[in-house]
Amino acid sequence: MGRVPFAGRVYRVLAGYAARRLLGAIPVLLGVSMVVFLCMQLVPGDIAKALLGPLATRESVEEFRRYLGLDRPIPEQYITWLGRALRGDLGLSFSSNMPVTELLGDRLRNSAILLGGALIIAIPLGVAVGLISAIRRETPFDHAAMGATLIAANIPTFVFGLGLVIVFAVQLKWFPVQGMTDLRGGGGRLDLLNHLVLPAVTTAIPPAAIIARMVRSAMLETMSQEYIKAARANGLPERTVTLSYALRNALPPIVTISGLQIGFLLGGAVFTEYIFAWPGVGDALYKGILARDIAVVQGAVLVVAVWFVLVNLAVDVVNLALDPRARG
Amino acid sequence: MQGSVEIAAPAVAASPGAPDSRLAEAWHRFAADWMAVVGLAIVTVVVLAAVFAPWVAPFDPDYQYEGLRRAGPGVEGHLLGTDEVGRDILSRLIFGGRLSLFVSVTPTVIAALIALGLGLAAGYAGGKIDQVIMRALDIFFAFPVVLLAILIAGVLGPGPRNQIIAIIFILVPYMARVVRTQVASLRNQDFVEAARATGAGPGEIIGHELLPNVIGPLIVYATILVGFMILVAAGLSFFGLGASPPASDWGYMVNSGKGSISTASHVVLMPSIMIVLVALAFNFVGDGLRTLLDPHGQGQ
Repeated sequence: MGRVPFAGRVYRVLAGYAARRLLGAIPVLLGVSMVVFLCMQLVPGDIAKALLGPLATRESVEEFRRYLGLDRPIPEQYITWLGRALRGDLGLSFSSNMPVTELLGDRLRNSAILLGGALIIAIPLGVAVGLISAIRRETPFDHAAMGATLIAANIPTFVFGLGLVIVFAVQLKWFPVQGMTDLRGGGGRLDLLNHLVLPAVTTAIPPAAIIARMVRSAMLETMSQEYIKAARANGLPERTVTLSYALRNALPPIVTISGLQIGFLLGGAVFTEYIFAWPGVGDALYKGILARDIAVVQGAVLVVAVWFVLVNLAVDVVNLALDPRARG
Repeated sequence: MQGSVEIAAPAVAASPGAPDSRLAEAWHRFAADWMAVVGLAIVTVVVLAAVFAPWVAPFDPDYQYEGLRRAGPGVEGHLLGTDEVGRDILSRLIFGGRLSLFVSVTPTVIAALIALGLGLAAGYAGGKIDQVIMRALDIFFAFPVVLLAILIAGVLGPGPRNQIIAIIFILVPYMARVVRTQVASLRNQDFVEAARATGAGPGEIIGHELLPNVIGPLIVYATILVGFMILVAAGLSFFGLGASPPASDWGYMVNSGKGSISTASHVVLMPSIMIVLVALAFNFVGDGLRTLLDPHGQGQ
């Protein structure tokens, strides 16, 4: 059949491409770490003092200054900092008196659960609404969907989250107001799922709205192409034309857009976690800001930004698998 | 072709009384888009209310009416009700609008100016300068926007001033990219070539040929971004990185009303609606302006 060698070749091409993109991501990751590091230079006053918190003694601040190498030039400080960060040392959180890496460890898993839930809602919902809108364009469904998505895309995550709390947690009492598990007798999968619904929907809706709008315009764009007209003229059923011809070709932009929305999702999740007291990285970030615990703020943003770069990388590779034209 | 706007201008301007009729025609086209008109009306009302807040607000925004905590809309003349300590919500929204608009519009204008400089330099000079500027800005695209704003404001400390600085940082890369793309596409067009042939120096070419063609799209983009920045600024305030009491803006109002969400949801709802409404309004105006500048892109 010759099918297996072909698949093998595609796989090799993809693996090679993934490796190349991974190498290409290294300068981006370095840039990200540089921005996060340089932001520390914006701290008003003494960085060592700010990092150690208000209760630090003069001697410990002095010692910490030497540890950070604040008397040395900034590029040298950056390399020291980067070396420590790569070994998993993101400094110490003075407000909780524990290493930032340890503090973020569990929270990363919790954020991943929230983001996973949000993605499972955002992408299918956005793609479905966009597709139906494109296929039934200029119908009442299309108009209603485009109006709703325009508004949804302009609702800040925290406003939407509070709205959901008012309706579904306070008034209807369908879901808990906040937290990740019930303190009394909770902890099972179902309990977690029950707590996950509102935060996941909150995080998912604004990106879903943007995905829907983009999918619609990507579909309309492909459906106006000549080969679609040709397929129709050849008498292919409309379903085949839209699903096999148009959708397949509209897929790469759709994947790219969905990937970009993950960044939006990560930003929104920070607010969701605060509103729902979801013990993730965003919640840690908020507490870090309240306590002016700069090490936590820096660590949390660095972790999320690195995550974002890696997700974009994955999206690129998926796109390549879908679109032979991009393989070059 | 964005460039055609300026190129076409002299032909129209040749007829007497042209500036007025051009403006009238532009307004006519803008007014045909009802969403843009509604957006403009909302923006105008909100801006005027904020500017003339002391005359427009029905009550003192900081006065706490005893025994009137969390009163519903309409109770004792409080059109939108009172908040958790008995202050009139409508008056607080009107006064809060000053800060909310200020911390979204100011950074957008400043960022537009910085981006104009960077984008013109990169797009006109090309080569190494272009590479250095654009690669440096590219790094910022690797961050989720809101997160970068939180990092900068979080490191600098809370307050409207730092909120503005954080927003400038997140806007400059996006705006500079738009300016640069525009300049790079114009640089080798005939009318720029013609100016160069008549002996115009770089300053003249940038000032007379490039700038007028870049400014339109930039204003459109900035208007749409103001809508988005209203959301970002509200988010920062909600996160405790903006105004601190007694000063307050819409985002802070949402946060401080969060505690009474189960007993009096209107305390949270009113400022929330305000944020969404004004953000949408700027979006509509921006879309209307875009159609004006780019009539061929209609229907998009």
